[in-house]
Amino acid sequence: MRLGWVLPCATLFGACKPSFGEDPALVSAPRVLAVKSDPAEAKPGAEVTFTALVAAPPDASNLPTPTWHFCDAPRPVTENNVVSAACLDEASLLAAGAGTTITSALPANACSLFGPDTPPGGFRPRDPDATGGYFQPLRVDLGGADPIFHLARVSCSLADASADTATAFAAQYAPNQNPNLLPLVARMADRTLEFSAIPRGARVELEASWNAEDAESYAYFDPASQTITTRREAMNVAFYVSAGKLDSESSGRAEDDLALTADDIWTAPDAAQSARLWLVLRDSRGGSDFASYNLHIGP
Amino acid sequence: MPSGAPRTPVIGALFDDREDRYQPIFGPQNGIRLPDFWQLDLRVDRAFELGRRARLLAYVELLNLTNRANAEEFAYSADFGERGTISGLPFFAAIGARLEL
Repeated sequence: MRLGWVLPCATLFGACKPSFGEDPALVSAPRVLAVKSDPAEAKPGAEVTFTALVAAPPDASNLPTPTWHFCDAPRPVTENNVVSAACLDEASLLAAGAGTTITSALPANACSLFGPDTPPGGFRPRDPDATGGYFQPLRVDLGGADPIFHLARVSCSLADASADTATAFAAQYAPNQNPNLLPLVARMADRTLEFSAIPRGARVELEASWNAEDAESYAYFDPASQTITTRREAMNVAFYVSAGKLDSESSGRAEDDLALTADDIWTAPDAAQSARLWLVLRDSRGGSDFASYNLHIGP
Repeated sequence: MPSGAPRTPVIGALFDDREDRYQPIFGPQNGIRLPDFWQLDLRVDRAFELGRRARLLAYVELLNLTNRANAEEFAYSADFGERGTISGLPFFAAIGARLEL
């Protein structure tokens, strides 16, 4: 008999979750949406140019300047966040520069602090991520907003492999390259729209795309089987707007999905106004590209 | 009427650029508690003998008579800037019977 009321109760229970107003894809204040490393993968000590995608509504003024710091604190195994909690303290930060774009050398000890080389202090070497990569944390601060952490991919030697396998891997592996976003296409009822003339309240189909070579194939060492296989990057596009509503915050393609597009639907606001739209394309090895568009909704 | 279960608070957030999402920064382990749980239920049942071999137990249950929104768990906004609670069942009435052979 109890099953009879458990089911409707479960339905009611679902309705008791609080709703929070802010849409994560809506940019209502200046914030950093993404960081791009160029090159997307580099050896310790190599110079890398980092660019922040700083987004703000069209009427925002006096944008704060991003400040950058490398973090030199490895994440203890007792923590499960993306970076060590120590990266929130000044003591573990190394100044890297200020501005929307900076060029700085990756720390020379990146492969021992965040890679497979034996680290100081009795820590165990780091494990690679699911794509076989190691990452140097880079903190970006914009005004008083929450800190942003970018993970810069570092080229380190192969761990847990025989000398022959490591040699073969080194011959096959190509460092990651950043993908490139192609121009965004906006459509409504199979008609291509101009970004300068979007009808009020329109449901606009957005199609982001990239070239086939942007979803790179790469050599991957499987430590369990001790074999080198070839994998293909998964691709993901995040969409952001300053007005209106997106159906989805992001969409993408898995490793085995050969399609070269990612779609979303944006509902334009009902009032005539200017707005901005941002796209961030990320590959699964940590490469990225981004673009922004000025929109005019009206008349 | 138990006190709320201990929980580890989220005291801030950082934005994980690679995963494109905010990650929580936790405070002291089990540093806060859910709000106290308080609920008044009422149940009335009566058994009816149906001959020598059968028995029917009929009941009426009134759960959460005061319709209190008891907190079952904390929930956070996507950027961890807001915290709310997931509340349990509101007032609920059930009528049922059980046949025992």
